[in-house]
Parts: sequence; structure tokens; C-alpha cells
Amino acid sequence: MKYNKFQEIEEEYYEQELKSGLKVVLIPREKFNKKHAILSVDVGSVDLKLKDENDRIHQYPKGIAHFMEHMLFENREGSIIDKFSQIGSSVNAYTGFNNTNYYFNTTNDFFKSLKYLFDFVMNPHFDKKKIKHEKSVINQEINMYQDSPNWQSFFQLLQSLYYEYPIKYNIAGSPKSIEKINQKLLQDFFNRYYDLSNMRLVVIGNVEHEELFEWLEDKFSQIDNSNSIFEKLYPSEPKGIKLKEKDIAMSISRPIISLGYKENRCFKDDRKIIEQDMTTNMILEMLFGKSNDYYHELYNKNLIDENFSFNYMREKNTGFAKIYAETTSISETNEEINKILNNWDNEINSKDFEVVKNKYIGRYFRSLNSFETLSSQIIKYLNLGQNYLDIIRIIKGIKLNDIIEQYHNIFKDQEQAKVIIRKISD
Amino acid sequence: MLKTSKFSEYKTKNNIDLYINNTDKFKTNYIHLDIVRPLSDEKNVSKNALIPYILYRGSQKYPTNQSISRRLDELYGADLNVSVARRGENQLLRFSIEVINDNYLESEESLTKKGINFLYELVFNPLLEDYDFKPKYINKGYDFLKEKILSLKNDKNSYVIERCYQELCRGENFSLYTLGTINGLKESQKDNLYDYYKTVLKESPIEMFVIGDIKSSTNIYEYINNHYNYKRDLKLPLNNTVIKTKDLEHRELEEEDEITQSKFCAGIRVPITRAHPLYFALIVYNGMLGGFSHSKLFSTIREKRGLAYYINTRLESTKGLMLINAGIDVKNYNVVKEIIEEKLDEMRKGNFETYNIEWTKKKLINRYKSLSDNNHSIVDAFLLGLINGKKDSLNYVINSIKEVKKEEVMKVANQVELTTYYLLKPGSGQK
Repeated sequence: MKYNKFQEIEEEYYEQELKSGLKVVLIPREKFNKKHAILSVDVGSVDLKLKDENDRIHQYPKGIAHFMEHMLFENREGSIIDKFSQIGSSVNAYTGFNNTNYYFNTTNDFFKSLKYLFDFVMNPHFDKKKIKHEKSVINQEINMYQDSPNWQSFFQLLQSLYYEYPIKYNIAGSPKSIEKINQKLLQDFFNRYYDLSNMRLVVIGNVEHEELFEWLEDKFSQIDNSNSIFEKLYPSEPKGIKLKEKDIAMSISRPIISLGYKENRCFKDDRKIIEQDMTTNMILEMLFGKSNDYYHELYNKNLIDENFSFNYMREKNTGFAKIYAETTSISETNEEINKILNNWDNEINSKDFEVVKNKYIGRYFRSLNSFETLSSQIIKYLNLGQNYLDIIRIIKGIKLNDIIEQYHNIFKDQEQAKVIIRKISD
Repeated sequence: MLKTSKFSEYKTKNNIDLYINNTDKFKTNYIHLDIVRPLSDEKNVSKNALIPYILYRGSQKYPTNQSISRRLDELYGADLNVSVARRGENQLLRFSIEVINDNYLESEESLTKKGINFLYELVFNPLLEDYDFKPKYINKGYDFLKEKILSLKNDKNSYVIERCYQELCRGENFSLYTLGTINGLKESQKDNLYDYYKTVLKESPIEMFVIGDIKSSTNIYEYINNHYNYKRDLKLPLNNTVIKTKDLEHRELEEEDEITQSKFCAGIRVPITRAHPLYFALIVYNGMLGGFSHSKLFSTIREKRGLAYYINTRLESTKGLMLINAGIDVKNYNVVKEIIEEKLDEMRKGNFETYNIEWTKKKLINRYKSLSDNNHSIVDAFLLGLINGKKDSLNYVINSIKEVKKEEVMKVANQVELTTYYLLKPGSGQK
């Protein structure tokens, strides 16, 4: 068992890999009523193809990881949510690009809730009727997102940035793709990915470490680290962006423009990935943050408003930056932003950089307040081989040179994808 | 045992109600200030709504939005929020700042005190020009709000909820949109807004909260008492809500928009608010009907019949309203309505499983306990109690929920009245 105390942030941390292969993290929080556990399965919407131990290729329809998440909530005993409700706990789940997460919050029966969590995630029941029912529920969900301009601008941009990589597809799939999902596919998908060695458990709250680890060893004492052998396959993604400009219309009050930049240096080195994530977000903050001149120039010219936003998302194998603005002068906003992005090299300075770093440190402390934010960050960073509680060290270690290098890599005179959402009737 | 901390109550020499909660649970200290106004008439609501967004543009000490942002960066990226909200027929002008706990920094001066000072500068020392707010900032505030009002339509679900409130409370103050109206905004510009704001500052209740690891509550109280120097003589009440229980009008409306999924909202009157003896039974009733996934509506409409992606109910506990809100396929609208009426009727007759009431109570208790783990929720819940003149401790709330009887839930069920159906469906029609 690994134990760490992070004096600087007053946090403790236990980590252990069990015989069954399950990796467990506990962050004790004695002062809180709430206890939170999240079980993260290392499979997400981008995992559509694998090669098994006999070199056989398995291909799955888009949206299957999300469909699985829905299906596990329905097993033989009926509604899982009801079971948790009985003991006053609440359970939920979400599917991301690279993992599927099942979590609960409770203020009393922690171990009963934990038992329920493993029971439903590990004991599926792929009933034909339920599959059909879930298809109609998910179709409604897909439709709901279709009407969201924010969501549209996000996925349209991904579709413009990527040729092949499945991050470009809607996490829930499409009505057409989920129609192909059946019992056999679900069972096969489950057998491959839903193995304890392919999962992490993160617990936050007033829980004793000895009790937790003993309970878990005991529960899975019959299971050896089976380590099902397979290789995830992803299409190779060409460099450069697929589509420079896309124009669509929706029922909105004013047009939206989103600009995207694609990361072409996708390191395998985990620490580098995290640095890339932080430096790019810091660059965007230095360029477009509210403390800087550019933001106010754009704002005062009415080219952007309070909805202006930017971020860089670094996932396994992919990374992209997105800038989002609502504006009535689409082309002018675009031009001005490009000017800023392409001419920044002369202005990069260490004073701005130190301020942005401090801002990151503040943001980091805030993120420790919420169990849900903390657990999702812990998982994100563990998947990249790092401990989130130790990240403050990486933040402090970033140098101005890293900023300059990454700026040239991703922004300076690089290809840009553009998605414009106009008003219907415009 | 319940882990919770309490607010100490103070009143400053300038009539600010100050509540301080000293707890070492959080990594940050949260400072929050609400100016409470009656929600009445289009023009005043619009004026009130404008104020936070003008103040946010610049103060005497930090004259531009950029210098405000720079100051926040200096405070380790402190999180500043200004907003406007509606609680019952009260309009809240909200200002808050969240800073890292002083424990985590090696600085000599307290970041918390700097945050408290900053908030004072922002709220009480605005930037002026010719005895009014700076015209440029008024215009910025105006543009910002105008856009916000127009873009309500972009978020279909919020739009539907707002429209349902408007129809449910047609002719009453509650139907006024928190951010005002385009017309009201235009009217507001004819007056000297700063003169108006001076009256607001002088006569309105101001509720202020500090929660976090602040070592000594008295020390913080004294600091605020000394630094918050603006002279005020409090005149207005904290709650201005009128509750309507008789002669309720029934309405059914449909509008069209370019959407793929229909959204609907049903409006219900509840003659029970926070201070009412049946309030805890109402919370349980709401949970049983549509508050949780085991509730009648969710389990029937979404789980059993697959007629909706989401369906839930919500309470407005100061005005006495309840909404049922769902995203559906338009062809199922009538079936969904029938099921709703059926479920309301079952609740009236006490036709519900014992498990429903038991699970709901457990879920609610879980929720209230968790609430005390979040600094923002603690403040929000406490403020609602203040407005309704009922400062219940968390322990009292939990015990009261435990003791709710089936008969009391039925009593609530027989007092609620569904009066409004609002549907937004696919089509090309404007509005």
C-alpha cells in the first residue's frame, strides 16, 4: 500500500492494487458527512475496435460504451437506482471519450452502497426487451443534445478537426448506429472491458483505509488478476485538419463562431501530456483572459461578450484547443482573434506568466472542495500516470520556455478549423 | 453523528446582517453579499438587474473591468461572481468572492480580508461620472442584459420553465423575469441610475455571509463592522412575497420553435411555504411525485413507458409553486398529461407504496447532510430560511423529515392545484 501526505494542501492519500487487479485510491475526509466512490472503467466512446488474444478483430457500433452504461442500470432485480434509494444513497454514471464512470454519494451506508455498486456494474443482464427500451430512451437523449447550440458547436468542431479518430463521434452514437446494438455485441464488449484489472476505484470521505482495503480484498478473494489480453485499436489520424470551415443554421438569438486547433504532437510520455495540457491552457489564459488587454479590446469593439470562452482538452492520443464566441460580426471577430493568435510571440513575458500561474494555483485549491470534481481529476491524472494531489508541483515547475515552445507548436500560423452557427432565417 | 457548523449572527453598525460560519472543512473562504429588493414592476426589476452588471465593469479603486480582473489574479485567481436571482417575490442582487484559505499561503496579510475589502469597493464605491454611473458602463450593462434576455431562448429548458412561471403567475409580480425586460431596460435609462442605487443601498436589507477557516469570527465581524462604512437606514422588509391561494385561473398553451424534441412544463400552486407546519410534508410530497428516480413520475413516464428522456419536479418554496418539467416526443404529449393527472390523483388518495415515502425520506436526509459539505449550498439554504423567517438547523430539518406521516403527505396532495400546461413543440412558428 502506498501512503502519502501532502502537507502543502493538507491531504492524505492511500493507493493499492488488489490481487484481483483492481486499483484503489482513498482520500480520507474525516470532517465531511458525504462519502463518495467512483468506479472508472477504462473504456470510452473512442474504443470501437480491438484485437483479441487470437488476433481476432472485434468491431463495435458507435455509442456502445454509453449504451452499456445505460444497460447496466437495468439488471434482473429491476432498477438499480431504486436499490440505492432504499438506503438513501444516490447513484449515477457518465461516459467520456476514454472512460466510463459509475459513482455514488451517501451519508450513511457506505459499504452497502459499495457492494451495490460492484453488484450492478459486474452483473449485467442484456435482456432483448430492455435493449429495445433503452434505444428509445437514448434516441430521446440524442435529440435533446441536437437542440443545444453549445453542444452542436463542440461536436461540429471535432468533426472538422479529425479525419478518422473516433473522438469526432457523438459519445451517445447516432440513432442509426445504436440500432445495430444487440445482446451478443453487448456481452462481447462487456467481457473484454469490464474486468477488475481494467478498473479503478476512487473513494473520498470519512472511510477507514484498513476497513476499505480489507473489505475489497475479501469481496474479490475468489478473483485472480485475469488481465484479459487484448489490444485497443484506433485508426491512424493524419496530421492537419479535415475541414477548414463549416456553416450551419439553428434557432438561436445570435450567431456563434468556434475556432479549433489540433494538437499534432501527441506524446506518449505521460508527464509531457500533463505539461502540454497546462501550458496550452495557460497560453489561452494569457492571450484571452479577462486580465489582459486583448480580451478588453475585443469586448469593447463588441466582437465578443460574456459568453466568450476557450479551453484546451488533452485526452489520450488527442488534444485540441477551442475558442468560442457569440457575435453578430462573425468575420471581424474571426480576423481579430487570428491576429492576436499569430502575433503574440513578441509579447510573451514572464510577469504575465507568473500571474497566470498563481491563478492556476487558486483554481487548483478550489477544485479540491468538490468530491465529484476531485475524483474525476484523480482518475484523469491516474490514467496519465500522475497523482492529482501532487499536481501543484508540476504547475510550479512550468517554465516560460515551455509556454513559448507550445505556442509555436499549436497556434502560431497553424491550421485552424472554423464552425459557424447562424440564425435560421439569416 | 452529523458534522455541521453554525452561523454566528451579527448586525453591523450600518445595518448589515452578518452571518459568520467558522469551519475548517473547506480549502477556500467564501464571502457572499445579497442586496434584497422587492420584485415589483418591470422598470424597477430591470433597474435592479442592471446594477450588478454596471458595478462589475469598474469601481473607483478598480476603474476598469481589466483592473478588477488583475486584482483578482493578484488574489491567487480569486473567484468573483455577480448575479441577479429571484426568491419568491424578492430580487437578489448578489456579489461573492472566494479565496484560498490563508493557511495555504505564505503571505503576511490575510487574503480573506483583502477579499472582504474588494467586495466593499465593488458594491459601495462605484465609478461615477457627472453624478451618475459612468455612461459607458451603463451601456455595457444594458447590452449585456439585453443579450441575456434574448438568449434565454437558446436554452430551451430554462426558457420553458420561465414561460411556465409567467403563465402560472400571470399578473403577479413573480411573473417578472429576474433579469428584467427589454422595455424596462430602455425605460431605466431615462433616470439617474446612481441616485436610484443610493436609495437601494440606503433602504434595502443586506445579508452578508462569511464561511471558511477564519480562526476568529469576532475578528472578522469587527473588521467588517469597521470597514463597511456606508451609512444605511434600513427600511424595507426582507420578504415581499404575496401568496395567492384563491380564484386560480387555469390555462393551457402551446408554442412552436425550431427544435427536434418537445419540452413541456406543468405549473402547480401550493399554498404551503417554508414557515408552514406542512412544509416538510411538502418536501416529501415533491420527492415522491417527481423529485427522484424512484418517484411516481420518473418511474412511470421514463422507466416503465420510455416516454421521456427526463422528467422532474421542482419547488419554489417562498412563493408556493411547483413545476413538472419534461422533454418528450410531441406525439406522447396527451399520454404524458394523462399519466400526470393520474399520479396526482393517486397521491391525493394516499395510493402510494410505503417504500416510496421511506426512500424519499432517506434520499432527502442524504441530500440535506451533503448540503452541509458545500459552502455555497450552506449559504443559499440559510438565506432562504432568513427570507422566510425560519432559521431551522440542519438537525431540526432532518428530524422533521423523518417524522412526516402519510396523512400529512395526503393533506399536501389535496391542497395542490395544477393550473397550467405549457408546451414548446417543433414547428416554424415564431413564439
